[in-house]
Amino acid sequence: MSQNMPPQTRRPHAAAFVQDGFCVVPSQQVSILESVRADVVAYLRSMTKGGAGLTDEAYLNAFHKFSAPTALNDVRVGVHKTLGSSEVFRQKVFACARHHLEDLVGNEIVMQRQVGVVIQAPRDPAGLLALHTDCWSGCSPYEVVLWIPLVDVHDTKSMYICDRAQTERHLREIKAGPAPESTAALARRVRPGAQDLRMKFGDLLFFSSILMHGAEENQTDETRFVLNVRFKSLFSPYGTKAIGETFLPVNYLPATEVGLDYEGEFGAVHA
Amino acid sequence: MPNGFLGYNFGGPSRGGFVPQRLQNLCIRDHAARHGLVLSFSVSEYFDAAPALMLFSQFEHIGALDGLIFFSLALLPGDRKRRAAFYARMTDSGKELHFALEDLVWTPGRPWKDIDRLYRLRFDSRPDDNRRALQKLVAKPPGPA
Repeated sequence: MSQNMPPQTRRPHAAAFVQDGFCVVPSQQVSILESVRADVVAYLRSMTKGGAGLTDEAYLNAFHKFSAPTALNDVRVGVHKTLGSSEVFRQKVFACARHHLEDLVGNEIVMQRQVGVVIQAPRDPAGLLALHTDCWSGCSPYEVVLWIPLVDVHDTKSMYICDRAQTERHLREIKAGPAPESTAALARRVRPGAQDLRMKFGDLLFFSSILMHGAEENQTDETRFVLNVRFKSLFSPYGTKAIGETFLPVNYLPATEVGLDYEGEFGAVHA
Repeated sequence: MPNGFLGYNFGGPSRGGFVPQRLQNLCIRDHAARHGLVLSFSVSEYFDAAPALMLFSQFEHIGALDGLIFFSLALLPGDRKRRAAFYARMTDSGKELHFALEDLVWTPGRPWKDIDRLYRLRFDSRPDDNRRALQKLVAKPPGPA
């Protein structure tokens, strides 16, 4: 193909994404990101007593002091239902990332219907997701995951990730067999080469759904608060997470508007 | 006095997949519960789903219902003209249409465009054809012109 394609010029974060399968960038819309975080904090304050006078960041970091471990799952579900599926909240999250996202998936985008919320209190073993790649659970390899820490994250307060080369090497080994006998065995094999992500509030992580990643028990003294949501190009191939069911269009470009209207009335043009 | 919503499912393979009817009905019941809808009962499309005969027969007594709950958008008639006829009958009925799996709702007075676009984008096989063609091209690039 190379002799027929012009050389591609990519912005640095897009080049990093191709090279590593992920990139960390500062959001161009920090005020909107602060508003997203304020929405989360306002909801939590309406559900839970304590933390009066704390800044949003301090409140989230200390959230485990205000919510009993047994109540944490109800809080998590409440945030997910109330904010995660709110169209206004969803649009704000998209606005935080749009500037960079368009370089990764194009400018005709579908977005996951629910924005995921991860709350991990210190030394809470519940709710951890073992090492995995999203493709193993049916995500399209054309998807990009947006991971937004609402607090500064580091060490076990963050997540770990394998870059593209490491992921592909592990996948080849798994394909060649023998298959790992457990998720723990797989993690023992993969974890040493994985990177711990250190990010500040205001940073965005974009990573390919092919990458191996996971999170461990939070051994810090602060709560991990993260949002995650998936994006892809409207017309790139879908996995088992379908349009309508999992994804909804964020926008249609003019030619798509015209084409969809034409085919809706006059039928598809088949070769 | 309407008697609640009618569920609509299909017992055969659909769009290359198969979902047991029991699961389809669980999904319909869950959707009804979450939206506070009364579900009267469910009907299944005939095994030859294309003409959607069972679906269209519901219009004979749609006045007695609050609306329909499809298991999925996938159960809309595949033929464009048949689908347009279904939209027209639903519009005339003034009843709601829900899609349980996708958690989508059409309410009377709204255009059908958004629902129909989602349906066509979801089940258009051409992007997959394009991907196969692209993979072939990458595997065997054309020589210099």
